[in-house]
Amino acid sequence: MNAVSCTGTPGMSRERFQAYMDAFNNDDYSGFGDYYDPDVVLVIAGKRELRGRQAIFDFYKVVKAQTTRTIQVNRFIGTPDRIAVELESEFLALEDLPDFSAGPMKKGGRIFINTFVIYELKNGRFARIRSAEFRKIDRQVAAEKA
Amino acid sequence: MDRRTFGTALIAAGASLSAFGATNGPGCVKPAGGLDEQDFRDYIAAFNRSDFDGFSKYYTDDVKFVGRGRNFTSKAQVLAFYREVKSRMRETIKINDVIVGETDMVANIVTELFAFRDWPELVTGAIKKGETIVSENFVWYEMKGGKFVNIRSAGYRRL
Repeated sequence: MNAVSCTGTPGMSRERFQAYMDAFNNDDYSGFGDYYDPDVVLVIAGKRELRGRQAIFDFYKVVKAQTTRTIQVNRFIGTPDRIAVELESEFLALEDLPDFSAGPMKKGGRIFINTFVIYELKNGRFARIRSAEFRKIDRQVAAEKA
Repeated sequence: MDRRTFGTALIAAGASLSAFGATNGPGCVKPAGGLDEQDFRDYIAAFNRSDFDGFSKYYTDDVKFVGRGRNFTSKAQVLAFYREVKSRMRETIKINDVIVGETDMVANIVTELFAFRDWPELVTGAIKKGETIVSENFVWYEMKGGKFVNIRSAGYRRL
């Protein structure tokens, strides 16, 4: 009998999760929305709680109208009922954003944020998502010219 | 398939599901990084009882530790920091959840700090004698050869 890893078979593979991120980066709402359980709950930094797919879409539509956001997957852990990922998000401001959710931005400025995110799975979809900010690097326009 | 054969097949299927679905189940092997959930629980238990030898055995000599305003590049630095912390306050960690992969694990922990005396220079914010600060954090551990080589902590929320 072959030895079985104690980590178990992931409920979602890294490849499938990467496809979710690709859909997100390409503004494919139908594509990335299909990963959400109808009763999905997203908690950002323990503060902002979004309930249901539509609430998440509404939130990201505002973010994506104000910035170009690109997310890459740095690290991934898959288990049968949960996954954990380290994401690196780049926000490029399309306009001056004094009240932006990740902090004030000037048009053309960039913010890089690394987050640790825990996804709880239900029937292969995300039922609860919680993210914690590990690091934020702010590169405003003036700094880029220097 | 008769009833007896069917029953045996069910048991076999159940055993297989159990082996794949559980962590730390009987008969499974440790992750490639050499640490599993029970190791992590033992590590935190040692930390909570201030057993410096007990918890530091999980660090490589050149462990990298990036906390909230605290960055270290060796076991000696981490230990020096916690010797100071534990002389000034009681730090107790409760494990909410541990997600274990082959080379990485992530813990959702609640950290309670109880100050024995004032510590105005505490990097995460001043604390006064008798005060308690409770926070929930996600901590990412990378492991190799049964030790942690990289530890990074992200604050999730203040409780």
